[in-house]
Amino acid sequence: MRTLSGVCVLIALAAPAQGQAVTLAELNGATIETTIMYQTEARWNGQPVSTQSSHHRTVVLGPGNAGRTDWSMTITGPRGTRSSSPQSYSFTLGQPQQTQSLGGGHSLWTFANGTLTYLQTHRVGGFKSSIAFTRRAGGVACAVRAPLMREVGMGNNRRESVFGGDFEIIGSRQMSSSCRVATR
Amino acid sequence: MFDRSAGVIMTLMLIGLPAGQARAQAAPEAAVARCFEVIPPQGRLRVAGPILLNRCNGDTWVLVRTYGGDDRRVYRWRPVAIERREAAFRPRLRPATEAPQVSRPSGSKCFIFDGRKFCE
Repeated sequence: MRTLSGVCVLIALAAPAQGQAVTLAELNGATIETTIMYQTEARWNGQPVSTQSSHHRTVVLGPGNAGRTDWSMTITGPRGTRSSSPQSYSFTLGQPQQTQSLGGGHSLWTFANGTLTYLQTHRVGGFKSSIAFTRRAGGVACAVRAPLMREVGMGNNRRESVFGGDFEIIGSRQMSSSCRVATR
Repeated sequence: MFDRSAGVIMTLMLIGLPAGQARAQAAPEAAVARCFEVIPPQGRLRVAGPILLNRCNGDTWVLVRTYGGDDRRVYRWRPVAIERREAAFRPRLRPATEAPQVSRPSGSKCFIFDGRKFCE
């Protein structure tokens, strides 16, 4: 009976508590896949467009603070469905970097309190993606949320369209999202 | 040449000051002139435009070219975020080798990136 209690205590100490935040060390080597659907009202080269877009992103974390991401976008509009070519780059958590993507800006990846956060600035406005990790039986689960970020005092968000040309976003709503994480 | 444009810029800026700066507007012109200084672009720094510095309270703006409501490009004074405890000193400009400063990247509906404020 005493031995059994001892074993229980050891198990409890070894396994991270359900309530504790997932750590970066636990996600070392993990592959995270997110897909987000948006309904967007915008002006593309000055012409009003209403689109549904699917943003697919894969993130591989590790070793340490290093990471790599691939992303692509599929947009359905009045002229049909088009997919962007996949883009890929490396990052270091906590280190902002310049990007030429979507007309240029800065991007930053951080990890804190069990959440991986990605910030991107555009010509006007920006974008933020938060991937929250939680423990579940036998592994880690995740949920993603990625709202458009408006720049205070600067009006509508503006960036380059993934297919070229000026893209002014009047409104954008996240319709659905999915997130999967595979730990090593 | 620059002094002349700086004067115009300073005048425009003073006209456009927010309500919180009303006291500065009401202050005698000489006192205001003592507070504000336009610093020309520095070649060794990444900040491309002139900087407007309020030496009295440390508030700082950088002149940037951006897009207006339509496709026209317009010039705006954009505030530079500084820690209030630095206000008594000349704000330090970010050299090209330094990364942009970011505050509250997660857990908040707003974040400040390189002096620009973004909110959901």
